[in-house]
Amino acid sequence: MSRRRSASTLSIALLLSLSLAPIGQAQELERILGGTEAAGHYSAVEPEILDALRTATAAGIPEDLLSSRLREGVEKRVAPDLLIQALKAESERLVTIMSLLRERGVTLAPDSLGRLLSDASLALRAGVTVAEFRHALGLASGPDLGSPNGETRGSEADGRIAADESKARAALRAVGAASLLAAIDPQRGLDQDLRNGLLSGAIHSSFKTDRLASLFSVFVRGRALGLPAPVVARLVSSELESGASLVAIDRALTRLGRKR
Amino acid sequence: MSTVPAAGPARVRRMAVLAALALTAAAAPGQLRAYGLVGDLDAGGTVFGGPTGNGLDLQLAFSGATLGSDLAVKTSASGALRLQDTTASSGAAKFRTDFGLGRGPAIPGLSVFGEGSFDADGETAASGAVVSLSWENDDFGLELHGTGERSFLDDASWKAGASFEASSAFGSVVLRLGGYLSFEAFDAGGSETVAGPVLAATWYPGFPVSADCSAGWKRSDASGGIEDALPLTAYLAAAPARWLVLSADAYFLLGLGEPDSIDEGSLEFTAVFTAADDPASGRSLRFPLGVTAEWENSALSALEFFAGIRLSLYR
Repeated sequence: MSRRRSASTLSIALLLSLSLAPIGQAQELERILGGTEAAGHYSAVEPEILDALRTATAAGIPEDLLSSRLREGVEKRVAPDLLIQALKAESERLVTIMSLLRERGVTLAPDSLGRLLSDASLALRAGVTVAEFRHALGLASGPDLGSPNGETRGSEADGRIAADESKARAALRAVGAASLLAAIDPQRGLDQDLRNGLLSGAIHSSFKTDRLASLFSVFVRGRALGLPAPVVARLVSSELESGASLVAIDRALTRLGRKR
Repeated sequence: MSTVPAAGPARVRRMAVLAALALTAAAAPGQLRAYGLVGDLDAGGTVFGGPTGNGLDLQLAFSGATLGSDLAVKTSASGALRLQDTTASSGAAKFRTDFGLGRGPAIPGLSVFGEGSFDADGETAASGAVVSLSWENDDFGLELHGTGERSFLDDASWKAGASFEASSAFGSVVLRLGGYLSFEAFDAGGSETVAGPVLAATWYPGFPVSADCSAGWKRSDASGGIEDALPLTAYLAAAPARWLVLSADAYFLLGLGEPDSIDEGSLEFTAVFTAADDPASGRSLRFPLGVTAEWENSALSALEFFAGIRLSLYR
C-alpha cells in the first residue's frame, strides 16, 4: 500500500515538474512583456529569450534594460529569429560593457548604470569598437578627470566614496566621448588616428560631459560651411586637444569654412 | 610615347599641399610647430537658370591652413566667373592670408587681402590689411579689428574701419555682441560713414542641426543724407544623413526710411549630396543643388536654380 502510494506520489511530482517548467517560463515571459498581446507569436523562442535575459541579469545588468528592448521588438512584431538575434547581440554587448566597467572598478546606482549601459551600447551599435571604448575608459580614468586635484580627503570611507564617484565620472565621460564619435563617424569613414584623436580630444577637453554632444552640431556646421568631413574632424580634434572652448572652436570654424 | 607622367588627382593634391606648405613656410620660417595642416582645393561648376537668364558659374578656390602652437596661418584664394549667353557677364577674384601669433589667451593677428571684380556696372579692385587682437578664456572671447583698405578703378576710395566682437557661450549657444565704425573717402569727392551694433547667436544643440541668426542696426551718413537700416540674417544647417547636408540662408537689409522697404535681400536653400569622401586619398566629391531668390528695393530681382559639382582635395 505504502509502496503504491509512494509510486503515485512520484508520478504526480514528475507530471507536475514536466508541466510546471513551461508554465513557469511562460509566466516569466508574460511578466516581462507586461501582457503584450503579440507575446504569443514568440512562444517557440521563449527559452532562448529567457536565456539571453538571464545571462544579462547574471552579469549585473538591470533587467529592464534588455526587457524594454524585448518589449519594443515584440510590439513591432519583429520576426522571432531576428528578435532572438538582436536580443543576443544586445545582451553580449551589455555584458562586454559591464565587464569593461568592472575592470575599471566602476560602481553606479541602478538608474545611472542603466542609462550609461544604454548609451554605451548605442555607441557600440553605431560603429565604436570595444577596443575604442576600452581606450576611452582608460583615457578618462586619468587623475585630472577624477576628484578635484586628484586627491581625496577625510576618512577612509570618504576616500572610498570619492574614488567611486571619480570612477563613475570617468565612465560617464568615456561614454559621452564614445557617443560623440558614434554620431560623427557612424560608418567608420575616418582613419583610426583621427578617431582616436576625437576620443582623446573630447575626453581631455574643457567641455562638461553633458555638453560634449554640442560638438556634433559643430561638425554639422563645418560640413555645411563646405568643409569635407575629415577636415572638420581634424579641426575639432586639434582644437579640443589644445583646450579650446566652444567659443574658440566656433571662431576657428568660421575662419576656416566658407559657404557653398 | 610620352614619358611625362599624367597630372592625375594624386599629383594635383600633392601640388596643392606643397603650395600650402610653401606659402605657410615662407610666411613664417622656423616658427612652425604645426600639429594640423589642412589644404583644400575646390573646383566647382554650377549651372543656373531662372527669369534673369541661364548660364554657368565656375568657381575655383584654394585654402591652406596650419594651426600651430606658435603660429596659425590660413591663406585662401578664390576665383569665380559667370558665363551667360556665351560671354563672361561677371567675375570676381580674391585672396586673403591671416596670421595669428601664439595660441592664447591673447592672440595678435594680421590679415592681408586683395580682391577684384567686374560686372555690368563696372570694374572694382581693392586691397588692404586688418590688424586684430583676440583674447579668449574658457567661455569668453573678445576680438578687436582695425582695417585699412584702398579701392581702385570705379569708385576709387580710401577706407578705414574698426570693429569689436565679444562672444560668450551659454550652454550650447554662442552669443556675440559687436559693433563697427567705418569711414570711406572717395577720390571723386564725398565720403560715407557707416556704424552700427550687431547681436548674433549660434546654436549647437547636440543633434545634427546648427543655427545662426543675427540682427543689427546700420546707420550710413553719406552725401545723400543719413540712412538707417536693419541688417538681419538667419542660417540653418542640418545633416540628416552622412551623405546629405541641407541649409537655408537668409539675409535682409530693411530700410527704416520708408515703411516695408527691403533695400536688399536673399534667400537660399541648398542640398549638398556627398557622393564620395575618402580620407585615405583625401578626396571629396559633392553635388550642390538649390534655389536662390534675391530682392532689391522691395522687388524680386532674381530667382535662380542651380546644380553643380564640387571636388575637394585635402590633406
